[in-house]
Amino acid sequence: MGLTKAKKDQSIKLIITKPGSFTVDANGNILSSTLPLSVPDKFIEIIIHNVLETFLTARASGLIFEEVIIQFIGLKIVAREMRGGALIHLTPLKP
Amino acid sequence: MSDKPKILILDDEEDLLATYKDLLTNLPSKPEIYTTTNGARAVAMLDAEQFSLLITDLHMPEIDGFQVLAIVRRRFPELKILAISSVLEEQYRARAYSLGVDMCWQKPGTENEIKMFFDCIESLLEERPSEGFRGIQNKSLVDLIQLECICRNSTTLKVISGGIEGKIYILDGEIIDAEFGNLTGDIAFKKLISLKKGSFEYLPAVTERERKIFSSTDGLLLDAAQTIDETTAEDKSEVPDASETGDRTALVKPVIAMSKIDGVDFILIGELKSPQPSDSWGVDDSKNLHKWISNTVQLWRSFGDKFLCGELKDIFLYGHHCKVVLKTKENKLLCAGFKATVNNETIPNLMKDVIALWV
Repeated sequence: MGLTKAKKDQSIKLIITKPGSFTVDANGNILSSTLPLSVPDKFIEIIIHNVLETFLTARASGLIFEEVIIQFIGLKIVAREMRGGALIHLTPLKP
Repeated sequence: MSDKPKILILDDEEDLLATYKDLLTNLPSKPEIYTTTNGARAVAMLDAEQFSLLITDLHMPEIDGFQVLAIVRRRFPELKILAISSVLEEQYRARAYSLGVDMCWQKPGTENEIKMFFDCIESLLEERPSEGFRGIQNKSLVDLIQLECICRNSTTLKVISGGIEGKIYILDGEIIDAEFGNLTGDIAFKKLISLKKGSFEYLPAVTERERKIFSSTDGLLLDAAQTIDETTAEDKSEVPDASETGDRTALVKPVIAMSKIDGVDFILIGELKSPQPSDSWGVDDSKNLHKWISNTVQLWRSFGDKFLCGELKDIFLYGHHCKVVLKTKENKLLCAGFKATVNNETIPNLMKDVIALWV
């Protein structure tokens, strides 16, 4: 079990090395960002989609949230809802 | 499990709920008080845990007390119910009693009324839970059937227990058939006779019913007595006595144990891709919530896998009205809802206690 976990942790790739934030509107357009240009667009695109989807589907289930924190072993995503859009903060975590 | 009686209070006025809670906690029997403003939630709580008494307001928005009574009396025939209302007209009182409430009260206003109201609650709590069927307490179904057969009556005895319905058809003092769910004949009769609690009503005799039971009444009742003995013996062997095993927590479902943690508002456990949760406590629409949790976890897991972010540990969701934590372990899901009054900073610590009971 311990070995499996260690092997799993080694497969973590830190796409971002420093914390950074960005804001998006309700349509998913980036309004401002402090992330370096080296961060892949697809990575940001999926985070935006997932964050907005999480807020929207929760609301559809009768749960209204203002903040969501998603914790992976190698990454922490904190998103605050802003009039349908969001302020998203990414922090790399060292496994 | 605690020996203290448990009272669930359903009222749409939150201020009143807080007052009831304060006052009822001081009753001599020191009951545990649970409150809710939502009828559907009350039914979910009753489903999840055994309560001694339900106190329900009759006039509420969305789902009114009468709707709650109709559901609760059918699903929990043994539960004591006290109906209250600010205006109690005779027609409402009659309707509430016809739905099987034990007592009906106008919300107490004066000090004397409050004292009487609490005396009445205490006496309801002190009443020993009686086996037998509502309407003729302390009489078993066997007694009722025997009475009908001795009197050579023709009737249909409708029995309702725990949301399941059955019928025993009696013609000229002879049992000709029985039905219980999809079962008929002797098997249905045996199932019905092994019920310990429920409610019954007499329906007109059905003369054209095809006879499926041919044994004599005495023979059937003797068999019934044996079935009851066997059921009682099974019950005793299946449910270990906590005092014998010394392990009280083993008897408590994880969701119930988790619900006792301070600040916990609701709990749901399940598995990814399963259409239904395995268990829940305090959730109105557990199927819908389970679906949302499952989808959300899969959405983020798939992101984590794609970009090698490592295992998804937790998802914390904070709102003004509710705070929720989603936790996964392989295919297992845990969703804990916390009360809006709980500080966000204390939630991770509370969550550790919840997880300890989950794993």
